[in-house]
Amino acid sequence: MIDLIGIRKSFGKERVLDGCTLHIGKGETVVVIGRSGTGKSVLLRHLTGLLSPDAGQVIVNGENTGEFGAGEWRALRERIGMLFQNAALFDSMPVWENVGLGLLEHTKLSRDEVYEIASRKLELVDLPDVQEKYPAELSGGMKKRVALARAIARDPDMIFYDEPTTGLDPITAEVINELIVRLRDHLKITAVAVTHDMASARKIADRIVLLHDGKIVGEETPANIDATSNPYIRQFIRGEARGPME
Amino acid sequence: MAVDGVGRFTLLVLSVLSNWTAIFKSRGRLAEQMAFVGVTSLPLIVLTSIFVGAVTTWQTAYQIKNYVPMRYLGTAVGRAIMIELAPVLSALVVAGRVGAGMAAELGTMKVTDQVDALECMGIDPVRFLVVPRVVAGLIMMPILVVFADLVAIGGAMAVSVIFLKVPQETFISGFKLFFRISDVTAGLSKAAVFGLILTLVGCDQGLGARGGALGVGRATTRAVVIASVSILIADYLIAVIMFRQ
Repeated sequence: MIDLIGIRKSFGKERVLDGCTLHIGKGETVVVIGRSGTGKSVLLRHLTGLLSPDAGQVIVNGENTGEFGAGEWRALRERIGMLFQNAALFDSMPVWENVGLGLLEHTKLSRDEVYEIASRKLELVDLPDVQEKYPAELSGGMKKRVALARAIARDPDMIFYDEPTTGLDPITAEVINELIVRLRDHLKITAVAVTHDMASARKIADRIVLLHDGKIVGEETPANIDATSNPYIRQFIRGEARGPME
Repeated sequence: MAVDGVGRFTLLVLSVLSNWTAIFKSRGRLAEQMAFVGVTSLPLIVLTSIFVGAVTTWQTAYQIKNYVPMRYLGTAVGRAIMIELAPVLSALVVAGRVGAGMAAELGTMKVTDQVDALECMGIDPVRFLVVPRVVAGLIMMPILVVFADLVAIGGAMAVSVIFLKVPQETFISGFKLFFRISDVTAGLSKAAVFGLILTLVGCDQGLGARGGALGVGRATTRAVVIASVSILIADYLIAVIMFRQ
């Protein structure tokens, strides 16, 4: 469903992605792990078109996004949900409008109908009574859940999570993980998550891949990750200072 | 960096031009921005205009006494206010308030990924965020300048009557003596151009913000400086075009 082929990306003289190649199958949830600053979020931004590769291809549903114009990107993005690391809720809008903005902008649904849909999505993420609140009135965990409701508001085919549990307490993080698993199991959404939270990765992933030096240097399933023979993944999950990623 | 900035600004202007019809779908956001640019700026415009009129009268009287009869005080002050002072000073005040506000708001949205979130939802940030602000500036600046004209001329007349002992009838007859409606429309046309400039610059700097609170602060400062200088340059160019010698 999604193929990243030989992606290279530099910012100034700093090369962040250096020939990164990754395949994500339909309905699969792939978690990209790696040290801070290795370019995990940059990788995710290539999938949404927020960044363009210097070289390489991003193929979605067999189409090369490098050849997309604004209209094609708009059409693709209508099928994508994105959960940002810091939630990125719109401060000036109440929660229901944050969740329903895509519907208000892209459909002919009335505001009342969008309010109903937004309320249902908020119930899915266990936030039934916050429609009229503003983001500033919510806790960090509630913001993440609202952002998740926004990401699924238009029933996307693909959803991308950028550090979905970072900065949350363990209990709230577990609530978010369970929501992601529920989306994976019930809606069969194709998903890519980037995180360095191994507890979250084990819980939500079908497959875990490790990004290092701009490349994918290893992959494992959550079930086999503790017995992995890959030295990079072993060093990462054990949190060892010495190893191939020194 | 400067070339990047000019290029980015040009692309923004082109994008606004190609998206301007979206304003018909964004009436709610347009009304919000019109209130922000116009209604909430009005007290500040009224306050500054009182003193603009007052000081202009005082300075004009000081310069023409002994050379020009005081019955021409209303003529000189009125035309100076309508053609030059009300549009330019109002625009500078609004640039400091609204241009900076837009840069800070959009800059914060940019550095907190809210602008990226819009793009990920298939919503063009220029269409959604910039077009309502620019159209609000275009519509509300001339309206603010109408108020500025009225209040400044009122302030001018109050000073001339109370402190300079020029009778009200003399001031008004002087004001009417060379009054041309084209002076008013010229001032309002300038105001519309200044409204475009200060909102475009504020939005451009906001969307170009990088690097957290520091970047937003810098973008806000740059928005005020660039808008103010641009307004003064545009004022000269408009004067050259509209008031040929």
